[in-house]
Amino acid sequence: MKILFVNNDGGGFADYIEVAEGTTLATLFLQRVPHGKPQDYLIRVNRQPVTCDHVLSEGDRVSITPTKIQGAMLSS
Amino acid sequence: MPNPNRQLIKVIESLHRGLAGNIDVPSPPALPMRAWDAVERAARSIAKARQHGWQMAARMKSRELVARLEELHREIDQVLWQVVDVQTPRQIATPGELYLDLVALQEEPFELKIDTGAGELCVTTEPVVLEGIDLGRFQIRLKLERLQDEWPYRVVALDPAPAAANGSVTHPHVNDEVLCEGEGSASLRKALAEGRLFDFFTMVDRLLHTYGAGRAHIELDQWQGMGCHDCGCVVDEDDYCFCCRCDHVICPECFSTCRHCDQSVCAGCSSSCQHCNEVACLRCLMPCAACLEQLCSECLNDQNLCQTCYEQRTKSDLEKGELEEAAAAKTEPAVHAGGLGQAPCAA
Repeated sequence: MKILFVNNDGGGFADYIEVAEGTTLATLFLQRVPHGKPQDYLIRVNRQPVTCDHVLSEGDRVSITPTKIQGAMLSS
Repeated sequence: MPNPNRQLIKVIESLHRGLAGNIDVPSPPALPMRAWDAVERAARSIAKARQHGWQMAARMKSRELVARLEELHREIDQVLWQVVDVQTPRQIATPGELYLDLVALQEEPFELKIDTGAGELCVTTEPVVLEGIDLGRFQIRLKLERLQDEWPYRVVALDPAPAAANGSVTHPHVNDEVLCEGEGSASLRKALAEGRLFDFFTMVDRLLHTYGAGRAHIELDQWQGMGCHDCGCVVDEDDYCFCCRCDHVICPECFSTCRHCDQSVCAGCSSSCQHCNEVACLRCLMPCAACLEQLCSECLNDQNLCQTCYEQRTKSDLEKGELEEAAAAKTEPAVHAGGLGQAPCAA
């Protein structure tokens, strides 16, 4: 089934991807962010917070945003 | 939000217009020239320090060069992501998705409002506290019809607690209402270009709640205190003092004590005696009556002359006195040698 996957880490990714029927949010996270820890991200399905065992549906919008994003200073 | 449906519809129309108008004309990303300039400056400093044999300075500048190169590397990565993104066909949010984003933002711990006068969509964060310092709430103001600008949004401090050294720096990464996006730049710009407002505002909020030590306009350990009037450094409340002449705050490194009146003074209110080089406040320095050099009371005599001028004047007075004596001696009548020792003639 197709879902919209948005990863706001690094350079950013937003596109439709294919996932197997019955895929949970936790499984998707492990597949797409293998080196990340869920507690370091804001994870939303259809813009709502859900539990990690939430089963994804066709057309769902999943977004992953790091909780810590470091700014910098603009050189003068 | 007053009259949400109608107002929201207008906002969505403005946003979608801005997004759709930009889809065929992507602006090229700015190249990291400033970061490169900073690397060059650091490298030149190292070369200069080595040339002069300043080993400590060379080591410090080498560490700075590493930091500058890492920053350049990060900025190149950001530009690369943006360039790749420009080459990838982009989808923009539909009006329905824009609407859902705005509704979802209201369900987050944000305050959402529309400033129709300024044409801005405003999202207010919760108070930002970094390392125990409360910076207050920030309002992210997005210009609805200027999404293609280089800076289509600004970050306004609603409860300003700026750095002591610079009132424009309201957050370690915000100067003059401009947020330096750092490692969030590429994904944040992508979210904005595609109209993913929920992601955009969430990322800006996360940036504000994250402190990047070593990459701030002003570091948090320099945030509070007072700025030294002479050197500009931030001084802790327990360490600064006031100049007794002008009342400005000065740091321990910049204050001097006048050796005549024992008052603490800043650089602007003090100078050195031009004879003995001791520091004195400007009130304790007086000009020599002859050469006008600024001298302390110990280097001026009771005639307000410095030693050199006093000696010159004394010498001049002596010479003048000798001349006068010589001139006076010439005007007295001569004694006739022929009349010496003879008895007076009889009448």
